[in-house]
Amino acid sequence: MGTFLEWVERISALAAPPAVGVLIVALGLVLVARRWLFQVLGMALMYFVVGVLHTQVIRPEVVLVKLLIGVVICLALGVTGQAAAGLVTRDDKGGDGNESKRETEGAAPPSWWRNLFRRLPRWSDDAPLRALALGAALLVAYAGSLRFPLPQVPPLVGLACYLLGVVGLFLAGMAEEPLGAGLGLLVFLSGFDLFFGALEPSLVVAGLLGLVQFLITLAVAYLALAQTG
Amino acid sequence: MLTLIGIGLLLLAIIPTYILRRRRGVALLLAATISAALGFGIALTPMDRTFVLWGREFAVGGATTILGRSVLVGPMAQTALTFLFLIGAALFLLAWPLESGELYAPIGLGVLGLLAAALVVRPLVYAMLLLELAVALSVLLLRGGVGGARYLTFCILALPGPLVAHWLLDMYALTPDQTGLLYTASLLIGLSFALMLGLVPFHPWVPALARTESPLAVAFIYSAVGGTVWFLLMDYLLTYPWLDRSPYWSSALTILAVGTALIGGLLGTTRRGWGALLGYAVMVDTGMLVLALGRGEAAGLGLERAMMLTRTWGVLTMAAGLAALGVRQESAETGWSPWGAVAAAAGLLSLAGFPPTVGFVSRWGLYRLLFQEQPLMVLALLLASLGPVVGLLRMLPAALRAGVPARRAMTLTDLWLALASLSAVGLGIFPQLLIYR
Repeated sequence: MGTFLEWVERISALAAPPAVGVLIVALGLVLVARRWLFQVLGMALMYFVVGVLHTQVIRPEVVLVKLLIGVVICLALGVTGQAAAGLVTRDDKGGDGNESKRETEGAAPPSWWRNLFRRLPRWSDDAPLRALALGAALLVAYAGSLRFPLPQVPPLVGLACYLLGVVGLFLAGMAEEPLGAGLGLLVFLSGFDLFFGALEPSLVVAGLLGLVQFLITLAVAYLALAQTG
Repeated sequence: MLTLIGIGLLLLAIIPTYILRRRRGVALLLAATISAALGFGIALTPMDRTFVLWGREFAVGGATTILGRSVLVGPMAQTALTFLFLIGAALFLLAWPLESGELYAPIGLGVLGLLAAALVVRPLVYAMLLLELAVALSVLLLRGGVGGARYLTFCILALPGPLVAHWLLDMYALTPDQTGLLYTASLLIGLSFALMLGLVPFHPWVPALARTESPLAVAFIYSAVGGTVWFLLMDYLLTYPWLDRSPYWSSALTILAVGTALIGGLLGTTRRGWGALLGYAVMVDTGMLVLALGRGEAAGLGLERAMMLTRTWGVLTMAAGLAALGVRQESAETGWSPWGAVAAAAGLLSLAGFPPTVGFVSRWGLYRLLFQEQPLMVLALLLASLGPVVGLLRMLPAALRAGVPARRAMTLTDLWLALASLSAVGLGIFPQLLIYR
């Protein structure tokens, strides 16, 4: 355990600037991509980076607990995303499931390159708008961290807090379904947790904040599945 | 200490009610019994009485320390806990015939336990965290409409404000010359409560929740969760008296309150379904409550408590009526249950402060308080109160067209609905039975 904690601390000291870069990529995945798999990957990456940044403000043992909460949240989100996607696909098919077969009967088989093209992940229609929102969030976070620097945290951690807070608000505001709103709330709370950890190092507060995040995940999973099903 | 044991018992009761979830009636009756026993127990037990447990002497309402956190049941918390547990008991009883969800009892008990803990724990930063836990758990009472996601979003966004304000106040205690810290803290606290109470412009979750979710789950959130938010706000005002003394605070409260009441009244005239009508009526009532709070006097706080009681009566009666009607929340169409329709109308009229319902009694107190200084504001509030009544009149024809009631014997549900409706009027005529004692 000691070796692991030393390893984490070493990474933290070296990796703060690249961590913010990775955080932008992670938030980009969550905000711009609308497929649940990319979003959950983005969330996992975000929790890891936030954990790395956390080591600059709180004890590494507490960070480990926070990382564990992040893992559980990502697992729950992944299961929810998969189940909700499965329910949507089942609803889309409907009927006896042979409609597509009947439609394609008599038509020429699609060429291999068309098949390949179809299998590539497609961008949603609002991807440009979401990319623009990410750019705006970056701008707001950068300006905010310069104009109103957060107390008790290093500048890069402050920038990350702003970034998480603004992207979380954008995500929650732009969400059309509960899962999207939940992702926004979790991103927003991660930013707040990163900041508040430096202000209030109490373990009880850290534990309760983690519990709030976990219950939000549970609530969002319930809402997403109830709405889809 | 005794209160803590009670809360612990309440949380333990989640296990049997969960096991009994298939026998919904038994689980709900058990939950109602425990909740009512706690409510009456807390109301009737003198808080200064002592008792001996494991050889140690404890005061019933004395401060206790658990894991370094103080737990205190003062007069305010005693009122709040009684209010909370009795609402819980009433909701569990109503849910027996009117709510189909199997998990209403165990989740309801869990939410009540967390809310009760939030009302007694100190410092207030822990109260806010427990309140947010209760908010997240209460989402599981809902059906999964868009309103639930909005409710969760607005309430969770309120979390950082009080937590950061707590730190700012600690800083202010060290550097009292920095008054800017106080200003920022009051701004953060005000913003957070505006989000949780659904004040304009943070109101969209209030009607959306009622429009898309089951009436009794909505009533749980408006009454139990909303009531706890009100009591915590009053607790903040008592703990930090400088909040109330700030001229900005009073002005901001007045603007937000009148804005919320007017927007609620205006939207209440539209025909967006029974559920939405409940939401808009609650918005109007929230505006009035905030206005009473903004008076910042003993009379304002007393009136505030009276208004909370009458509001809860109105919400429960209307929600029970809507549940009995089997309302399709998205449309104006309903099934037909004569007493359900009467209860929905009586509850709405009470929420709108229409005479001679119980809601009018507390409104009358507010109007009298305001009329001397701001008669125009009273006129605006009266117009806002008319909004939901107009909405009700627009909804009634569609409801009446839905069908003629079948001739059948009066059921227990009908009896409860009839009692709730008649009480809404009876308590309006004899208000001393509920308030002004």
